[in-house]
Amino acid sequence: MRHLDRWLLLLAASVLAFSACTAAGRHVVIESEADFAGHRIGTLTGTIYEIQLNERTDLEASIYGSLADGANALKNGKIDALIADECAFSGTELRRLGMRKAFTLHTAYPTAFAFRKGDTTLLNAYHNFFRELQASGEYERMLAYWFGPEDPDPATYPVVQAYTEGEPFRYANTEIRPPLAFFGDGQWRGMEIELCQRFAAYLKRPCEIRLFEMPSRLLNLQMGKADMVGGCIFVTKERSMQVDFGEPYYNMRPGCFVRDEKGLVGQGGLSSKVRSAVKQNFMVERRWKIIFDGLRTTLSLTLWSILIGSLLGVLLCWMAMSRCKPLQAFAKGYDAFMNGIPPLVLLLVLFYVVLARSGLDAKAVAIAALALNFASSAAGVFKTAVESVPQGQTEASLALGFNKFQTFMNIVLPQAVRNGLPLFEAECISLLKGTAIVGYIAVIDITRASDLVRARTFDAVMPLLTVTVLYFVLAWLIGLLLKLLTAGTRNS
Amino acid sequence: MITVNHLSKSFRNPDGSVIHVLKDVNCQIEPGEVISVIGPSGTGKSTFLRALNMLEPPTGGEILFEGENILDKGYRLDLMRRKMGMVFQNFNLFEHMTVLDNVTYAPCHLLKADPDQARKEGMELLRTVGLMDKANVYPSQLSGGQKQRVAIARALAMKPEVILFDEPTSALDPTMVGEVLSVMRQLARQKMTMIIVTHEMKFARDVSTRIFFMNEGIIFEDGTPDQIFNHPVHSATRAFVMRINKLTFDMDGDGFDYPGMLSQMNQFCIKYSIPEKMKPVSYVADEMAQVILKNFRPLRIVLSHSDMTGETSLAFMIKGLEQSPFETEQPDPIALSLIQGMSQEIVQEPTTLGYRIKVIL
Repeated sequence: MRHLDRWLLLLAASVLAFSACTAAGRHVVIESEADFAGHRIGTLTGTIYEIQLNERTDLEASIYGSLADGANALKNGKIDALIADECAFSGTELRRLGMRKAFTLHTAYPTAFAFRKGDTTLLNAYHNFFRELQASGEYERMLAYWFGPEDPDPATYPVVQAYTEGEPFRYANTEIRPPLAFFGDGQWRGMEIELCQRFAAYLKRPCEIRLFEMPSRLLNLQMGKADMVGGCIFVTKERSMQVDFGEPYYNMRPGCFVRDEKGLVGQGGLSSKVRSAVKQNFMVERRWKIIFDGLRTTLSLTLWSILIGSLLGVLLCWMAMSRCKPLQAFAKGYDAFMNGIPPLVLLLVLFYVVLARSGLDAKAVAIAALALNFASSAAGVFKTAVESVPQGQTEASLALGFNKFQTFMNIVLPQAVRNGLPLFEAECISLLKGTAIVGYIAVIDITRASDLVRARTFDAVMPLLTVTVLYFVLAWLIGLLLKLLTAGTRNS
Repeated sequence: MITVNHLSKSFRNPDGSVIHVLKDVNCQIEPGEVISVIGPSGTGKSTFLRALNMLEPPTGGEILFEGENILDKGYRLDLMRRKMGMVFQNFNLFEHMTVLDNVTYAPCHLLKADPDQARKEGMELLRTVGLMDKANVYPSQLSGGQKQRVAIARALAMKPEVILFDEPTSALDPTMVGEVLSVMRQLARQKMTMIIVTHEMKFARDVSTRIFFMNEGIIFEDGTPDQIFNHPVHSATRAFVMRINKLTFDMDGDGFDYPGMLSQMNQFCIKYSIPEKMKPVSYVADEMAQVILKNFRPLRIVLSHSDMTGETSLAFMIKGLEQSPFETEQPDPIALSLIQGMSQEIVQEPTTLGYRIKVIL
């Protein structure tokens, strides 16, 4: 273990060095919209800029899923300019990333929260709330606080009164965009978040904030998964057909960001770069806590899914091996069904369709989806394991005078466990890796946690590397756990 | 102790056809008897044995064990099986247990024997089968013969009233057959009731009190070893116990593959380990078919050999002929003297099919 951290350091350093090399290269000048022609311009999916860029045929448009991905693409020279909200990066972040804002585009877009169509009570409440906020001057103070300084000081983050009793007010957020919404000091922070928390307090309801994928954010309103949706949503005619918008709280203008190596801070040797990356990604604002919580979530999802899935697997295996034809057919059909659909699709179907109105929380739905999927592979493993014990073992035990149950429990099962363990371990590890999909339904596991950190630090290397190592260690731990649990059944 | 009445067993093939393995088996087995079940393969010997302890549930008839029909619904098979041990062809030792645990497992769990006492008795049993020093190893470390001796000890540990042996030496290397048979001989001397399906004829003859010859799904002949081996009633029994192997050729016309026949006869002699007969067989077949009986067709030639008596003979049957061919035609004197020189005896007799000349080599 003493050498492991050195190796990791070396690995991280070489990846950093590699990405630094690729960033250098073409030098382009983009100072106005006219300069876009012939260049590779990036923006984010689901934004109004995406539509505008795609309409232009004189440039090469690249669409990214998150701001962090876009920033990395710019940094690595995959694109020449990135179009994003003017406030997307703070001054310190721009310097750290080696970027600058070249210019601000002219059009401004009103930005507002979305409500379920026809939910007039909530919409009216929001109007009243927002007017009061403006009248009291608090709104101006918030704008000044969040959009004024380059980086708000964590020590001065505003504290909003929170209710713990009553029906939760469910807010679905999407992309992390400081200063609108981001993780700061282990908590949700930002202009949108403060507005949402204040509104929840105005309603005297506890505030529940979830992170959803951008493309499905408005869907969550229609499916009743959220009461209000935010995340820098521009008010457009098309969207107004689907949802009702509250009062716009900001007029957002797009900015054009380009590389600026001159201003790049954090120069120095490799080790100081790695040290600063570690500090930036884990220490600042206690970002390690996001990863740690994600780790706990991944572990609990995995263990619960293995447990429930195995129990279901036993049931399915029994059905498959029973003499009753309908049970056999059911087991076969279940297996075929689970083999035929991607786990991610199963997860989304359960979350948005089958269990949409069940009131189960996202984590429970995630466990259900993973366990249902695991049950089919576990049943296969169990069946193979039981069938790997020769029929003669059963006959010998019956001939001695044991009944069928005793024979199965004492003779077949111990040998089946021994034979099936390697297969079962492989399935468990495959399940562990499969938990990475739960981010799609707003459960923050380690993969998602690394996204959150990435969105804040715009550094792809360190968070992803950490997650890679964590998955590897978890897989090793699961193997170890299984070996300990089944230690009694093995012999020389 | 065991009475079997009209026992039958049939299997249904996947294509829907039905195979009757056991057709109508009847027998009575008394305590202290050692019964060997012999017969050609595929005649239901193992099925019959496995039906006795219901590992292979029969389709009809009844099996009375200590006066009760074990085919009755609700009959406690597990209790019956504790009194009826079984030794399998493939040993079927519990691979996840040591040798001693294999032996003591059933008495400890089923007879609620005291573990220390069971271990002591288990060691004693291992001593009688000569494997005390292997008590703590796993079955995978034993040879086939050793495994089968452990399996016998395991069956004995339940103190059964009868033990069924299902071809206990068939899966063994020839060098290991002896050690297993010697343990079984020892059991027979101790008046253990045993029912043994076996291909070891000498063993069956020496050890059994009674022999069942099974053929075509029934007990074809039932008697003492002397009756079955020395005075069998049925020709099928005789052919089986004498282990007579036959090779038949019909010379009907011109197209007959004569060199092919000689070559097959040579292979037959090699197959049944009588290479010294190769030369006389070809000479006699050649002189008889090509010289002495060259004008007599159709001609059937049968080469046969008995493993039991070691007798090899060539029979020539002239189909449709009622009296000796030598009455109408003098045999070639040189050929005849050659054949006489190579044979022990020449037997001539008319049969229903035709006139037969049998040359015993």
